[in-house]
Amino acid sequence: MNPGEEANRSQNKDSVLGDTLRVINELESRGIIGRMPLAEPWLSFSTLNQSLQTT
Amino acid sequence: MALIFYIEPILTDDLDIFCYIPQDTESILVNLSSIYSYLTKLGYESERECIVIEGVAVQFLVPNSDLVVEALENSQVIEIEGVITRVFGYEYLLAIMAQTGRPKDKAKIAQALESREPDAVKLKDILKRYNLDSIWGAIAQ
Repeated sequence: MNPGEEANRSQNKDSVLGDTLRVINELESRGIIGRMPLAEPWLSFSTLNQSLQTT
Repeated sequence: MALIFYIEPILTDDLDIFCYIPQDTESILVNLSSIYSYLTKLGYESERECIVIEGVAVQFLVPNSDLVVEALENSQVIEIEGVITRVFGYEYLLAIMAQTGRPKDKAKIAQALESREPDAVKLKDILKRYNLDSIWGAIAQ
């Protein structure tokens, strides 16, 4: 796999995740669940690293 | 080489959500029915222990150790695709994987350490307080 393919795959996961996270946030706002940190290593190590580095 | 290249073969493609789930009774059994009831009304379907939300299999987990509770309380707020969410801090995540101790967690620790150095002071503090020093030493060798 070349770096371009990796970047595309990561971006696609983020796009899917955004929709998923909106639904999960709705669960929280309705009081169905409490605080909800994610625990996926691939999210933490790729997206999280990227987010933390850019904020 | 990018970490994701190595991680991909051992991914399960599900998303673990640690959360508190309000309970109506003092039962020790965790009742996920309120979550499933709400989500199935929206058309999402369950798949084994997960429920598939917008194409991602999501598993809801309650904190199962003091370490996870502390990690949850100290989770970091980030934004993904315009959505505000929270994630475990990196050092907490490493400690939780060490505590869980499954072979796949140990493999992920090794991969993570190749990708990013943790805050050594923070990690050492967490490992010491939860008696994970020796376990970590064996994994990190």
